[in-house]
Order: sequence, then C-alpha cells, then structure tokens
Amino acid sequence: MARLDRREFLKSSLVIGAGLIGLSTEAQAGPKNVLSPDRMGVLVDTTACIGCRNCEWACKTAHDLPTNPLASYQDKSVFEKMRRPDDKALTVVNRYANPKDPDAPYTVKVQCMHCDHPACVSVCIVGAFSKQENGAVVWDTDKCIGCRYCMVACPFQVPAFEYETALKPNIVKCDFCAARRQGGELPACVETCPAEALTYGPRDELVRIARDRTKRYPERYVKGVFGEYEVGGTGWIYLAGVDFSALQFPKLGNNPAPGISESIQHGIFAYFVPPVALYALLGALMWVSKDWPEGEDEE
Amino acid sequence: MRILCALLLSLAVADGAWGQAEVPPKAPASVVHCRKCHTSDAPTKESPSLVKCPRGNTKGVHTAAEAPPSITLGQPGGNYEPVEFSHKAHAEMSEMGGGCYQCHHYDQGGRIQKCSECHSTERARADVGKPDLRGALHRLCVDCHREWGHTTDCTTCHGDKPLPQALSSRRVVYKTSYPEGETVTFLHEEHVTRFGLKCADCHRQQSCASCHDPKKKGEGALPLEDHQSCSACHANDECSRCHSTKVLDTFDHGQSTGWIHNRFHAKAECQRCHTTVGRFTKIDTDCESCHPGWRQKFSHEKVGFVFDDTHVDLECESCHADSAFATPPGCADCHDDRSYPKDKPGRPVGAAGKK
Ligand code: SF4
Ligand code: SF4
Ligand code: SF4
Repeated sequence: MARLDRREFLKSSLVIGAGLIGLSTEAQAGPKNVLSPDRMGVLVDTTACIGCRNCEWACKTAHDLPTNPLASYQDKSVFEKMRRPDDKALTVVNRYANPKDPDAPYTVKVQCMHCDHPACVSVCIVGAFSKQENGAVVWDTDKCIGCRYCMVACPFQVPAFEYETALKPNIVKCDFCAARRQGGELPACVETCPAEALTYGPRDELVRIARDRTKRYPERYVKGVFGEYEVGGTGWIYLAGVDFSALQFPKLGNNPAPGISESIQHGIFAYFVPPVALYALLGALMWVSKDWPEGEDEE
Repeated sequence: MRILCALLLSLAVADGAWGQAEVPPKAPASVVHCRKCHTSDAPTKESPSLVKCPRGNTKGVHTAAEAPPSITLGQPGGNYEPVEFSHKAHAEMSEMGGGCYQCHHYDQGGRIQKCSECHSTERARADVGKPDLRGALHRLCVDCHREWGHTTDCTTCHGDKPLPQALSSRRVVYKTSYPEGETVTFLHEEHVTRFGLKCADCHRQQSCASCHDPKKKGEGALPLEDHQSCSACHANDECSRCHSTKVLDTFDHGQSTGWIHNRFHAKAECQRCHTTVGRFTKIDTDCESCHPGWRQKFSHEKVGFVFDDTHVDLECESCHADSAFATPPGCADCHDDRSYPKDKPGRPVGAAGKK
C-alpha cells in the first residue's frame, strides 16, 4: 500500500515539481519521432509463456541492474503478488489463473509497449522522449528534468522514477534494448526466452502472424491482438487464451492516449495560464481517463 | 518559451504525420520450396512425383523400437546445461498416448524429418511465423511436463534430477456385479514384473498425467467394463480365476498353481521355466522335465545335508513322499519314534550346518 501512496503523492507533487523546474530548462526541440513502416516489435504469446522469468533476469543483466543468480528466478512465490515494472526491474512477469486448465496458469510479461503514438513522447515537455525508427521509445537522461509527466500520461503505467538519484532525476523503463539492437543483437529478453513466447520482428509482420494464429487455433486464442489498435497501436503486441481483461490489460480506446492531454497541454502554454492549477487538473483528468484494473500493486 | 512552443508545434506536426496506421495484410514471407512436396525438379501434371504428404498422421508407420535411446538437446555454454533426452523412453510412453505424432507432428510416413528442417536454429531470422527450434522444443516438452508435473521449473530437465517414475499400483481392486464373485483383484505389479507385460500392452490412449501425476493417481487404472484387456491372456480361464469374494494378496505360486516354490525355485526368473512369451502356461512339475537325469547327478549335500551310512542308499521317495521335495520329509514310514527335524538321518553341512 505504501507504494500506491507513493504514486498518489507523486501525482500531487508533479504540480509543484514541474511548476518549479520544468519551464526553466533549456530544452532542445525536435526529438526524432519516427513511425517507420519497418519498425520492429515483439509479439508476446501469453499462451506459450511458461513463467520461467528468465526474461526478467536477462533484462536486468543486459542493463547492469542488480540481480540475484538466474537459479533464484525459479522461485514461483513472487507470483503471489501482482508486480509492475519499476526502476529495479524494467520487465516483470505476472501469473493469472487459467479457467480452462488450473494446472497451466497464464503468465504475462509486462514492460513498455513501445506505442506507435506514445503518450510519454507527447507529454514530455522537454522532448526527452522519442520514438525511434527501429520501434523503440527511448528517453534522453540528460534532457529529463524529472517532472514525471510521462509516468502519469502512460496508459500502461510504465515509466518509473529512480528515487535514489533524486538530485539527478532519471526516468527508467524498458528501452527495447536499443543499444543491443544497434549492435545487431536481439533484445535480451527475446534472446533468452526458452519457449520463444517473445517473437521479435517487423511490427506489421507480427500483427499478420498474430492474426493468423488466432484464426488457425481458435481453441487456443481469444479473438483479437492486444496492441494492434489500442491507443493507436503498440509496438509490443499480445496474444492471449482468455479475455485480456482477465490478464489485467487495461481497457483502452483506439485513439492515441495523448489526444486529450496534449490539447490541454498546448492550451496551457498558448495562453500561459499559471501551470500549477491546470497541471493538477490535467493530472487528474489523465488519471481518470484511464481504465485501470483493481488491485494493482507496483513492485 | 519560444523554444517550448517550437517543440510542441513540432510534436503536433510529427503526430499528425503519423496518422492512424491501418495494417495492410502482407503475403507470407516464407516461400515453400518445390522439393518440399516433389521428388523431381521438373514435376509435370501427368507425373507430379509427389512425396507422401508430410501432414499425414504417422501413427503406426514408425514405432518406438526405431527411436534412438537418447539424444542431446541444446549446446554447452548456455545459461543451462544441455539436456540428455531419453528419446526411446518417451517414444515408448507415447505408445500409450498419441504415438510418435505427439511430437513429430508434420512427420511423413517415410524418412523422419529432423525438427531443425522446419524450425530454425537461429532466433534472429526473417521468417518468424513459426517458433525456432529452441522455442518449439520447449513448448513441446513443457506442454506435457507442466500438465502432470505442475511445474515449469527449468531444472526439471536441465540438471541431474532423478528421472520421474511412473506411479504404478501394486494392485487394483475392482467391484463388479458378478454375483458369484464381485471382487476382482488385479495384481498390477505382478503383471509388470513377473509376467513382463509392457505398459503399452494394456494402456492405450492415456495421458501422461494418469501415470505421473500424484494428484491423478488411480486415473490410469483401466476400466473393467468389458474383459478385453484381460482376455488376451485369460480367455480360457474360469471366471473364478479373477472373480472372488475377497481381495487377494500378491500372487502366490503355491496357492495359485499348487506348486510351492522352494528356496531354489523361488529365486529363478519366471521365464527360466515358463518359456512361452506373454502368457505363462502350466508346465510339467516332474523334476525330470527340466532337470533330465538329475537323480544320477544330484548330491544331497547341495541342500546342506549329508546322510549317514544307514540312509545314504535310500530312494528319495522313501522319505520325501510323492516327490514333494518342498515339504518336510517324514520318518514315520520306518520309525515309530522318530520325526523330522528333531531327529536327523545324517548331519547338516554348509550354511545349514552352522545354524
Ligand atoms: S507504454 Fe507508456 S512508456 Fe511505453 S511507449 Fe507507451 S506511453 Fe510510452
Ligand atoms: S526489450 Fe530489453 S529492456 Fe525491454 S524488457 Fe526486453 S530485455 Fe528488458
Ligand atoms: S522468458 Fe519467455 S517463457 Fe519465460 S517468463 Fe519470460 S516470456 Fe515467459
């Protein structure tokens, strides 16, 4: 519960924080936002995921985050609590009951969805976030002013804040292994996944494959590919054997999430309304415009 | 402020340019090679030279007997050690379920295709429509193993855990509606160990869980609705051979056949005497039938007893009435006041002598 409170606190503190430092930063305009037709994505087949959590380990190892040895990831007791990605783990796997077969629960890997129209990019007032040609939504630590606007805007509650380094603010989230991929390597989680529940490929090709699978194996998959249309499409897309809401996927419209917030945001600055009040309003608006499942815990 | 406005403007422009992407359906990236279906490079309508359709069911074409005993899966140097996969044991178990087809799903009746002929050994590849080899293998293994083992722990296979044993019952007791003997005791252990029956001889179309899942123990027992499973061997037996009024204990050779095993015969493999395969038939109990000319060669010392001078030349049957060598010998035919084992016609030797 303490952690939920933290997020609550954060929402209100945004108002002050951003008002104080946000507007005075020397921001560089022109983030490289590209929606390339050849952008890459990942198809997460939750019916193939075996919940081994090797991806969690691989992600931490690839990003020099502290981690226990791989063998410790066999401990399945972590599944008793719902977890969210945070600054210590850019991706986490959660477990859900399988009504068709109690002995084969579903496990779902969660990380940044690398949206095609990322809310984080849209709301970042200093342009620290960008969508790259290769499909990755990344951010520039040097530009980040720590306003945590992206955290509130993200429809998937992904960006996390490194509290330990409060003086040098830093946002952390899955970076789609941008550096690894530039070096010709696969994303660490994709490379390690034993069941290839994570398929890396051109996003549009993955959508085609995913649709094809739901058609060919209707007994295995529910209809629909999560992320094909949600919030305007995401780079990471999901297949599931039960309704996505049972796996705590948020119910989101097909319009890009930044839609509402962006226009308000533009309004704020166009008329230079003292940001404090509107910022609070905006945060609240974005918060309620999201449809979050109950009982979410952040850790 | 100007900078900010420019930034927001550029964002808005970028956003507009993105638009709402409709995903256009693409043709499959992989192209099927002609040789996949045709044996000739120039097939014609008249002579298509087709191979047997690879999508056919292979059941019955290949058998577990052809399977290699074990194959190594995986490469050394990875996060986990390679797995020594007991291919033959799995093939034999599959005969109780879906056969070779359970894993070799697109295999043809002819040459067995290697998994890697379709499933790439490279994770980074152009055609990602089907899982790569590592993915395909893990999905196959885990699909069954998680079902009965209730775990997806990597060390179930990667590591030196002892192989899981089938949960086999010693005996199964059936209640039937047969009035003269409603209880049927099936001595499972005996049928496996003594009569050498293979699991697949009786068990067909069963899931792995029915033998391996402690939660489902007992579900593997065959139904006794009809007599099919038993009648292959017991067709000519009386009903009372199986139907009884009480639960029977393990097989007792003396009780069931009237021929008690003494300490020598008790140690012998059943097949040593019962040479018929599958079903043991009654054999001649005359010692001569297995040990021709034994009387000439036999030294009583072998059973731990040497006769004194008065008894050494007697016929065997003088003491062992009716050649019942397993029962204690009698003394009363000649002696009113002697009995065995209180009085002995000689002295014990060897192990018997030391007692
Ligand atoms: S999931 Fe959230 S953080 Fe990731 S790209 Fe989308 S909006 Fe940004
Ligand atoms: S793509 Fe890279 S950063 Fe993202 S979850 Fe996978 S390993 Fe972690
Ligand atoms: S490595 Fe693959 S199978 Fe294992 S938990 Fe992650 S996504 Fe699932």
